[in-house]
Amino acid sequence: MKISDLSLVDLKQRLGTSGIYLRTGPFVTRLQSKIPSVVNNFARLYANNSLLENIGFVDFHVSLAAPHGLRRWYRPQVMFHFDDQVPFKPLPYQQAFPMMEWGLNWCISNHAHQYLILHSAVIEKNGFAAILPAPPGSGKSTLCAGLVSRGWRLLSDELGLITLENLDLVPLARPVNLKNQSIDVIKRFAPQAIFSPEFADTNKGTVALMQAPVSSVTRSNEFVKPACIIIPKYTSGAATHLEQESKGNMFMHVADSAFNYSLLGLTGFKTLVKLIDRCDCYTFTYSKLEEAIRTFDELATVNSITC
Amino acid sequence: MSEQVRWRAISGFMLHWHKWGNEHIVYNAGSGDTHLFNDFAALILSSLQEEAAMVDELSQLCASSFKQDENDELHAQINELLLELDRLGVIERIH
Repeated sequence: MKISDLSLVDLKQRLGTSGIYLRTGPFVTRLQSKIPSVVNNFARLYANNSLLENIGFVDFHVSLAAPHGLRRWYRPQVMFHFDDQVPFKPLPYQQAFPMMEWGLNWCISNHAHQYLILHSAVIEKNGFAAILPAPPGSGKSTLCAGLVSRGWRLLSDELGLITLENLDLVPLARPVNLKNQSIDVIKRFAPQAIFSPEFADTNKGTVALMQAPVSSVTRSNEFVKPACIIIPKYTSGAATHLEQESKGNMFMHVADSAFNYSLLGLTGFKTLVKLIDRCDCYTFTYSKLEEAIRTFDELATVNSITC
Repeated sequence: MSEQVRWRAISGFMLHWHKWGNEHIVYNAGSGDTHLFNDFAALILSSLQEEAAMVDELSQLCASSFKQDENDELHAQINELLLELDRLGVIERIH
């Protein structure tokens, strides 16, 4: 059963009472909220995700609610609850949906240590999977949104999950988080995509979320081996340029971008060595999205022959 | 720095190595830190993992390994490197 199989009335009723059990990639989240913007945006952006009726183990118990007291009326706020704890300070009420997204990312990056978790986008085409590790502001999510709008599969735009045993990339197809100018860029580039409203004045600037492609969500059980690690960098006016990066430098960059490399200790080191060993490593500079996608398509075509 | 100081790597089982070409990644299981070294630093550190040494001995080793003259400049480079490796916590002075 999918989220879209529920009417908005049913979804609102369930979210506001016992909660719904949502599958995203390998995780099951119990989500509760009575906040209308959470209900409406959730219905829109998670329409294709699986809704579980026969509940087994739940990874994360999450709810979003307004705090009690005056803050319900004066500059209203929203709080993120995880297992009945409140891990963050409240945010303005109108930021409830992005807070849910950031909170879900936090749940995974702070608890799913059965994986090496990289701060990266992960995309795949014809069996050729690329990891894009990059800090905020590098154009990673813009490039990722552009690629998945042109036939690449979205595994994640934020959290690269890698199994420790055999280096499988685990899909986690959730909405793509776009910020500031990249929102208009992607709305023009992929007008057919489904977007949330824009949320202004967040601590990341203005943000909007783009629904994950249906095909990516339905292939959430298909793991893939990584073939390539590419550090993307958007530079205004720059020519499209893919350049080989040394494995040593890439190791240090990826270790730095991982959420739990240090926590995993020697296992993290050994896993990352194997990952870098098997992947081609590049840096990628771009300013024109169409050209960037052409470069990725060529890379996928060349490598799909050998994959 | 006294030329008579002897250096050794921290307890050997703590350092884990991987090499790609002339890049050496070293993971220190004691501190959880990871370092990227070139051939020069890797030679010094791996030598100090095998046995303690003074600057003179390390200078001879480097001169012979990299086929260069053993001179004051090389001594200075090694001294500087030893201080850096000490700061990183992968070697220690014995006396």
